[in-house]
Amino acid sequence: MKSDRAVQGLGLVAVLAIVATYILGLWITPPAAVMGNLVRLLYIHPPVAWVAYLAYGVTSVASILYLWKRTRDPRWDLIAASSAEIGVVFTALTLLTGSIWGRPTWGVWWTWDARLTTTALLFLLYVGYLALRRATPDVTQRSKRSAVAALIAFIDVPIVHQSVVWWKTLHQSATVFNASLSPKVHGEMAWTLLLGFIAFSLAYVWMLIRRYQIAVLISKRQEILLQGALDERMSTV
Amino acid sequence: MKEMVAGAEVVGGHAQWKELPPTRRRPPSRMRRRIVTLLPVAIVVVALVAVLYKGLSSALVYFYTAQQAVAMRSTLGSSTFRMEGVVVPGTIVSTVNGVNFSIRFNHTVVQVIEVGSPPQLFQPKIPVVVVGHFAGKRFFSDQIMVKHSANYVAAHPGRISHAGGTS
Amino acid sequence: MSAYVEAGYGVVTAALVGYGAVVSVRARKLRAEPLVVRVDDSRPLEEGPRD
Repeated sequence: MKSDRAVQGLGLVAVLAIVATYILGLWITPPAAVMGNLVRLLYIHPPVAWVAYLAYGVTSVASILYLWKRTRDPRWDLIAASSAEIGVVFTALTLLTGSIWGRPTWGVWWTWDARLTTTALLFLLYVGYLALRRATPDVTQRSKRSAVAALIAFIDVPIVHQSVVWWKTLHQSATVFNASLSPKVHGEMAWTLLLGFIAFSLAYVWMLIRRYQIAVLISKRQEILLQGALDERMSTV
Repeated sequence: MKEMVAGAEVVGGHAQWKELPPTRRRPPSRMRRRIVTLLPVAIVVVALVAVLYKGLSSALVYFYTAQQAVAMRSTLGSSTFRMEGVVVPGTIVSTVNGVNFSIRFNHTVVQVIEVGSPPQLFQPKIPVVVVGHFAGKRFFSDQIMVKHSANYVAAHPGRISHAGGTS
Repeated sequence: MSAYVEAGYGVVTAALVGYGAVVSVRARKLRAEPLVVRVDDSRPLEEGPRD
């Protein structure tokens, strides 16, 4: 299939971009003034967190499109669910890489400041979204319920982002997406960070397409099984 | 040529039992199925409440600045809280149990007695959050957390990458 | 290089490779499996489609 080739190509480009980010981040960029080599975690932690935001954004848009009667289509629901699952993976990665970075810089693996607490909340909200989907067997009911749940959960995303501004936190304020939108990183470090954002976003798009394809195949299968069971019933009556 | 006899398909005289998808011997009761599907939801709800509680009790006022803490010293008493300030250069003295130093916020300076080893980025002029309590005018701390700024500059700008730094 | 840096990159790589592998293997399997309803396997072909 031609479109499948394109998806494969996208996957390859994503892998290459990530490898390039790693090479630049681990070996080419200089150590930073205070952090030394620990600054290298800068090239993965914010991009991974950004992808989590992006994934939940896509889930929200897809959920709105499902809830709005004029655009209602079961496919929006499948996109929302696929994106949320990837979002959960990236939120877990955000928490893990943050913890790994926190130990040597702050001195602690975890602390209950506003940024960390709201991020933990974000993770749990979307795990809850996925759990809710599994707990609702009826397809239409599941789609509607989870679309509403997705929109409620998304309220936490701007709270996470603004937490470092609204409250006093141990976590630093935004380096890139700050109020003046002027990245506080220098030279090649900034370019590597930018590449990181692009690379992980590409990986997200690839994952979303693949995960969505699975969701479609599964739902088709369920439809056919259901139809088969109905036919069977009809023939015996 | 086919007739149905109670689920059996009769083809050419002998009955062939249809293969149905395997089912569990005893279908789980409605109650049990409900528990199995709702358990993950319940666990998540409990975790959410726990995190919200933590957030409301700790995250909203994560620390007082040294200035605020000094102003509130009488009300804070000997309770444990977090205090933020910048390490004053020239005040760091290693002791048997840890390190003594002063932190400053605006013009307020507080002397800190730390028991335990400071994190590796601990150094003069760096903002820190110390956890502990007041005893008189001094602050007894058992944990220092380094508050890194959002700025990243190369250790040796203009030079080729240098193998030093924190490792 | 710091062990923390290695751990951070390691965790991210493991998760991306792991999730990517699970997703592509699952997609391939689902596509390879024919979409038939097993219950119908015993039905002779000459019967034709039911209405």
